[in-house]
Amino acid sequence: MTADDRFDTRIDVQTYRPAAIKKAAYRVAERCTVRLEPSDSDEPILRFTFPPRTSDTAAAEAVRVFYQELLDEELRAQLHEETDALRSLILAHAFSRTDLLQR
Amino acid sequence: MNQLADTFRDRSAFAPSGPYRLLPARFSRLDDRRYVITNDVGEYVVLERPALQALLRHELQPGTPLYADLKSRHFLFDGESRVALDLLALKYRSRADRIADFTALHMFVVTLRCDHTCSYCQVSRQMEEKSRFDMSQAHADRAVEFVFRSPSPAIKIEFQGGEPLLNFDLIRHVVLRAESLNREHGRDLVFVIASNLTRLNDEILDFCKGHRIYFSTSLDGPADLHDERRALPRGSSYRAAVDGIQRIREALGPDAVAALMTTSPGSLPRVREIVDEYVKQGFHSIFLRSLSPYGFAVRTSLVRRYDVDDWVKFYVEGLRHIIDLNLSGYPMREEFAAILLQKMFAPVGNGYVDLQSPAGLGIAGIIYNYDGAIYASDEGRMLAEMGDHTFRLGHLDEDSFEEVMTSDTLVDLLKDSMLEGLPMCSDCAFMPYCGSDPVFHKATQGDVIGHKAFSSFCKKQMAVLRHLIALMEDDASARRVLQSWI
Amino acid sequence: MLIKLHGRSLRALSPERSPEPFLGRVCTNPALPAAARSREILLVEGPCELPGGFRAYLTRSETGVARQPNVFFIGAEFPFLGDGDIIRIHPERSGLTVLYRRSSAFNSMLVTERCDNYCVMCSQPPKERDDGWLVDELFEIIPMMSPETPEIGITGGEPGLLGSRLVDLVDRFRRFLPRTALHILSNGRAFADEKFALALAKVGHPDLMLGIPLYGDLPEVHDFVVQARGAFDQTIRGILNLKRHRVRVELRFVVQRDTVERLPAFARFVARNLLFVDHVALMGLELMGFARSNLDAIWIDPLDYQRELAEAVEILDRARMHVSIYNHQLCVLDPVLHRFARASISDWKNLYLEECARCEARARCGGFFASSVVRRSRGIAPFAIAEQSGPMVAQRED
Repeated sequence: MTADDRFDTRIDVQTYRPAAIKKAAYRVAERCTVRLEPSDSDEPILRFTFPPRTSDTAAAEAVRVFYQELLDEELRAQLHEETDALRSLILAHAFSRTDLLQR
Repeated sequence: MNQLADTFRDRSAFAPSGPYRLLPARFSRLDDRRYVITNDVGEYVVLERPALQALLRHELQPGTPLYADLKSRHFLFDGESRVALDLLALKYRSRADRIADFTALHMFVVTLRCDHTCSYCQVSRQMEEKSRFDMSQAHADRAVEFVFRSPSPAIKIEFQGGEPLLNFDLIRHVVLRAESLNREHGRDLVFVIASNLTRLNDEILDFCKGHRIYFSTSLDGPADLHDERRALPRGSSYRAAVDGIQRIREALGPDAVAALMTTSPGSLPRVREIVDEYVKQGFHSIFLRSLSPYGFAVRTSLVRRYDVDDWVKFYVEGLRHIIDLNLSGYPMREEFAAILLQKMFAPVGNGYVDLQSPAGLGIAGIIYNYDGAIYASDEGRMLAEMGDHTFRLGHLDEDSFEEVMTSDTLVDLLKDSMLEGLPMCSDCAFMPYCGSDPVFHKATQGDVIGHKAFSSFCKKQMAVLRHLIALMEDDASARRVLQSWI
Repeated sequence: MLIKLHGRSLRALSPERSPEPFLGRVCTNPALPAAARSREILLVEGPCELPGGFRAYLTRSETGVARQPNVFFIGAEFPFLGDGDIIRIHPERSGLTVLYRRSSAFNSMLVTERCDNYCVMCSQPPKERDDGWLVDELFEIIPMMSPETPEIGITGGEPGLLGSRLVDLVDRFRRFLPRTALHILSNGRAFADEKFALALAKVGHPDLMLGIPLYGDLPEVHDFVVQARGAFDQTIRGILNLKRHRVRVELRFVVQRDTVERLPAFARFVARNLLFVDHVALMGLELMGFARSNLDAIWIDPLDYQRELAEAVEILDRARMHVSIYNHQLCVLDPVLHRFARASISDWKNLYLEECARCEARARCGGFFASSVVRRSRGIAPFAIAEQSGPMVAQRED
């Protein structure tokens, strides 16, 4: 898979939103660098670059972890979308009145 | 037979109607199988991935124990009930309110002089003779004024060094001065002397008897381990510590002295022996600490000589041993776990300086250096000794307490330490139990925020929290022990 | 001791009687100055000359026709009656009701029988009718109570339904009995209106506590037990409003079959969300009223929930909350729970069983509700003192 220290694949940006891809990339930064590169088709290229002397096993593991993180980030994005407004509401409420434990 | 009389409706009549709604939360992997989900106020639920997906897709079935727990702990709400929002707001506010009582810990570096010549010393030591490394009385008086400017109802003044007992006259002066001012202020005032105890004598102990003074000393483990790293030109540092501990207990009571350990590469394979040394010395508490990357430690690149994974192994083995000690009838508490467990289970958490969001910088603790400079934390002062003045807040000769606490330096640092706004942290389930440790990241990554994917602080926090949560979930006997530390 | 507080066997000895029921305070001193007699009811043992001017007279010895008005023969009934007790006499019905006993540590006052909850185990089922006279009567007798009264309980029904009248009542207690602790049993729903909570707080009663039942951590559990949708939200908001205005609140959780499963979750919920309440009482069933008609549906033997109870107590205790166990006999409780158990059953409705006579722990035990005889735990058994090398340890007798 890694003849050199690079691995390219295509990614469906309908399924995975770019924000989630970027966050997942940030999380795996210690194992590899992940970049989104434009391509001729609708699906951009996902380019993994590994540090020098990364073994094939380690590289495969890094890619696996990236996709795992990507799935989590998708779920997180979903959770954020649904709850961000509520969080603001709760915070506004929290600081809008005197507190119970105030002495 | 087991029916209510017919003027009553059964349970189904009160079941929530309609779909549920999610409340703000964060989740992270616990292990290969499970996730932990937490909310802003630190409640958590452990669940498997399919359950997490079902929860987020609104496919979770009401009436199941998991649904009930998620609802009870405010991860979802349903039906007409909206009181979860009131309660969440209240809990959020209670956690935030603690910040208003800022700066409980005031550290005085009464001298930089020390009689030890330890290779790893976290403080740049100076020769014993040079009294230009002592804090002046004028600076001490000014610092005591600062102490009482902070609104905290509880105040701890900690004397540090160097070896603070080398300048005991100033300690005595500060204690008397602070007590005299406190007659008007009425704070809960205590003093701690962080000392290697080599200079302990009867005169010092006699003075301590009449005041609320505690000692904190270093005990790294068995004699050879302790003395290997703590070089005392004449004599054994270990001997001085254990003899001093006994003398303090006899003079001031069993709780008057606590010990702290520093982990070095030599400690890593010997955690059981280290814990047992604490038992031998009659302690019921130990803090299994990681080596900090400051002072001489960075220069001798000790930090890099062992990996976080090795430390985690050391910690997990040590914690297991401590739990087993408890199960065999010797009460013993591991303080790092206790701090994290309090954050997880005590409704208002705790004020441990190094794990706050915003960071404890200045607002949990502040340090007055021997030369009058003021730093946001002890580690920030050590960084300054290495030439990095990021955490210098001002000087006792030049600034007022108000100027220091509202300085751009401090406010910017605090802003940058709010986990809610930091990459990775803001999505991390462990966020409510964690802190940002800006000094660590400045020292190791050159930036107060740091990239958490490269942060050994982050790795350590996540590993320990995962381990503690797994113990709470999976090991009933360990759970009972851990709960007793909350 | 089981005390009867109401009877209908007065025998009028005087031809002249008040047509309406009336209130008065028991007095055993016939020499009381005449000017102080108008609200006093003189209680005499043997036959004697009855001095004039008392509101009424009670005699324990049968005599002939009395000259004074409102003289009644009570025989050996109400043996506990004494100075300072407050009673209602209903001449038409030959009725006597004891409203207040000066010697009792805790006097409970019913202020209404109306309630907006309809709890499946209610020991005092609500009645939907205008009973404003109850609180009127209480207003009347407050000035007659001893200022040394240690504690008064206000119960219902739901006292919160009295609205501003409840606030006035608490104010009256504050003015006439400033040293008397006042405990109000309320479902808390009315205090979801913050203005009402504030009004109560503004009375500034020096020793007021609201005992508010909360039967679970989830609305579906609580609402089912109280048979009212939305009650959970209102009760919680009521508690928050009361505490926001510094009114002391005690939570009361009744352990029964529908609540026991989430008892530990309830404790965790309270420790997390309601840490600021002043007391948590975990209570056993009182088998009266609806609890009796629903007995088979709600009963669970305390022996079968000791694990849940111990876990809940541990959670609350660890959170440094003040927690008590009420209405449980020591012999059915796990020994680790004994230090939380309080002898809580009102003296006029508790009793002990035959086997309790041999029990060494009886003095510390609350005993039974008189009503509990309809169903008893398998665990009832006397403790015998076992001599050990250390301190005395109570053990269950096999």
